[in-house]
Amino acid sequence: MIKVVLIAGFLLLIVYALSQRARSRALSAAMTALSVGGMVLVLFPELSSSLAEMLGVGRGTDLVFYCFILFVLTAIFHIHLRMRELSDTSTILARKIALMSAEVPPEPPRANGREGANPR
Amino acid sequence: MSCRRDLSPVWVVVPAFEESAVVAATLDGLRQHFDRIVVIDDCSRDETAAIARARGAHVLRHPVNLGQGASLQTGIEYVLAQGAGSIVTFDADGQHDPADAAAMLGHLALGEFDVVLASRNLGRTEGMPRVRAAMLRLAVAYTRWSTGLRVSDTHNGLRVFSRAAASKLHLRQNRMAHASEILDYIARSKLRYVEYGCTLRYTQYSRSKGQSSMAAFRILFDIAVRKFQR
Repeated sequence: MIKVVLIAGFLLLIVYALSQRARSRALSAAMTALSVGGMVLVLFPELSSSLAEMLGVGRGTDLVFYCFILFVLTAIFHIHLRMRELSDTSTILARKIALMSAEVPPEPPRANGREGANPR
Repeated sequence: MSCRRDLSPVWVVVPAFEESAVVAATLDGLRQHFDRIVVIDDCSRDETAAIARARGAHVLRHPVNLGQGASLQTGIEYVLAQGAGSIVTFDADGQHDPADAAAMLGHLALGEFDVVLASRNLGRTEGMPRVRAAMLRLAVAYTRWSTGLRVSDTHNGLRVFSRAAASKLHLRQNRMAHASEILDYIARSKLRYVEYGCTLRYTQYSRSKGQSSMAAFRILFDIAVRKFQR
């Protein structure tokens, strides 16, 4: 039965979310809440319809779909910020490498003593 | 009331990405005025680094391509560690005039300013496409509004910093939004700045190398996303 598969999937997600508590409490809580919500909707499908009617969305499927879109967009934005952080890290690393392997010319050529003779 | 400030040693920071066609001419021009030049090769696949080395410049190489903002920051950190007294940033593509850089250092030496910014709108611009001029006017309007600085040119790679001004600069915009980031920094740190009318040459080469006008939208996006991060 499809319900069993869905419930099992949500349960696995919850286990995963709880195992990630140490890494990000907020993310883990959000995942758990979403999974529990998903399970409730799988077990009581009429609930989404009555909820949708209350909110004036039409069908329950539509409500679930809208929530899904919102969730996915949030997740994408979160991943985007993470990617930026990663690129900051790699920038720092690349800069360190560039600074460590600086190529200094053998002897600094002088432009007719236009500047102070003090190299450092 | 102004006391002349000692700016030496002067270091020129030249970010370069695949500029083998022009970087030799640019460096030769700079050599006429400056001894200490560092080229940051942003992981070019061409001979940019070799040419810079042959011209007697210090060469830093990014192991991966990071963008012009990142190159500037790398160069600035390098020359600060070398004990730079003042720092010139200069585009590799030959659109700036080294004599302008020297004149701007003269302004910095007066001791009344922390930063001297080149402005094409106070000086002369040769061969700028009309669409580009319109885009830049928009950029200037946006920057004036967002930073409160009364600048006339926001995206000019020729700048002169005092050591103190440069050492607090931490560019995080790796790509092209660093131009706005620098102005933000000047506004936030209440640095004393002045603009200097410079000559800018738009050649066939610099036009093909430079950014498309669509880049402006990417820059705006980069700035907006930054606001969501620490």
